[in-house]
Amino acid sequence: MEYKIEVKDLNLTINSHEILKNINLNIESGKIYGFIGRNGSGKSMLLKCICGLLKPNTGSVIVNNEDIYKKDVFPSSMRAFIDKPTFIGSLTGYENLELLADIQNIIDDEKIKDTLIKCDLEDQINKKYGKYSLGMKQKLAIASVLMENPDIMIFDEPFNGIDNKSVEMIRKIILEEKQQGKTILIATHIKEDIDLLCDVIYELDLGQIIGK
Amino acid sequence: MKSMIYRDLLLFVKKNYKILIFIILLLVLKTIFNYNDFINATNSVDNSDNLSQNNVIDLTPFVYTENLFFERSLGLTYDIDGIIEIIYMCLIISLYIYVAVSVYFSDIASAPEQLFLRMNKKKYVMQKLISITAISILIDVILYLSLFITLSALNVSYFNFELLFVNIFYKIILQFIVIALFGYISIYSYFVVLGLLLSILTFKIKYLYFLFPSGVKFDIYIVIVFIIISMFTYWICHKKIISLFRKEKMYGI
Repeated sequence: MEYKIEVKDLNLTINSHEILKNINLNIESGKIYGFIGRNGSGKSMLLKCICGLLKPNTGSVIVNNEDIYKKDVFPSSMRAFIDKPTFIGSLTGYENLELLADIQNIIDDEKIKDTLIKCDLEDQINKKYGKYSLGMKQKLAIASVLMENPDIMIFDEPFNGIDNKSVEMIRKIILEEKQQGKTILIATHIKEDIDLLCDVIYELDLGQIIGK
Repeated sequence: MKSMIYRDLLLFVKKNYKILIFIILLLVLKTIFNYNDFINATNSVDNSDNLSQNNVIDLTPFVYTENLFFERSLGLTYDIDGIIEIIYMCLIISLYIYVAVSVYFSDIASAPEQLFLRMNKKKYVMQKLISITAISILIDVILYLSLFITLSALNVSYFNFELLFVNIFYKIILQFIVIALFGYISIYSYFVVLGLLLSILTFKIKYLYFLFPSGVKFDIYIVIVFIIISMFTYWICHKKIISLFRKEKMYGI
């Protein structure tokens, strides 16, 4: 499905600190968009605004001609992994994904297992999440985004704590998703990730887009 | 829906198991503290009918005595005449209010994007209300079991589940009212539920007055307690849900 996201004149101020200033973006289907900037530049906050998790003070986020803040809805067919991965420690990786998949019930158990295998978590399916390493937690969070085959995928620092081999594998997965027409937004402070993957790159600093 | 209740339950237990252990411990200690009351109550009637062959004291026939010490042991204090009972009752009420708050907060603290991108406002509200009811009922059951086990350890036999069922029933009715107040069922249904609740309370007052002419004050308290719980729970749920879906309050902003 064709998706179009428009971010118009977006401003976000928290406790009198200007987090995002006058952000304007046009995001189209089938491309990978990269957001690069140092820590605290506003990348994660911008992604949260695009998801509908954080309401800007002014401006709008329009997904397929629908202003998500006017209608008070979260965009459909969008999945995101923002900040650090958070799952239930006493459940296995598989059980955690199963819990999330049960909400909409659009995929079966096989699809969950396939996604875990795809993300190189085959050997960790029955391991408790609490015993996962940071890299495994990251991969599980990426799997939670991928498993339901959404049209828009948002990843915030997806390669944190992941070894080089797994980074290569995840890059490959992201590129495959792009080839299927998916829209992918990635925020990172590592330039190499962005250069290798992204079609369009936005550079942020102090809450402003300073380069495209 | 089922898996989300399980998720809420796991998150709640993981975060609050120490509080639950503390409340159970308090109940056990209070039951032991009230042991003399149990024994004194049996003195007012013919002991030969209430002592079994192995000298286990059966308290079940005394459920509706004037003192109502069983209910007191559960924090369902109808006859509030002591500071310990009042403190314990306040703790129990606070626990149930805390359950509501904690269940709503759990998703904000842990990766809100996982849930909010997968379900709409209505589904979220319904799921949370059901989770709160389920967790509250589970706590009720645990407290009752703790009471029965403690009494058994004290060589006292007491098996009466009426209060447990009444408690569970109240909680389900309460959630119906909260749902109704949010406008998720029609205003007509709201009056039906409210009417049903008032009928039950009226019946219960009449029933208990008939049984205990001298213990007239107890049911007034349970009505007041119930109304306070309803108002607090409604207020908390309302405040939380509105802020969640307006999104300004997310991430502590």
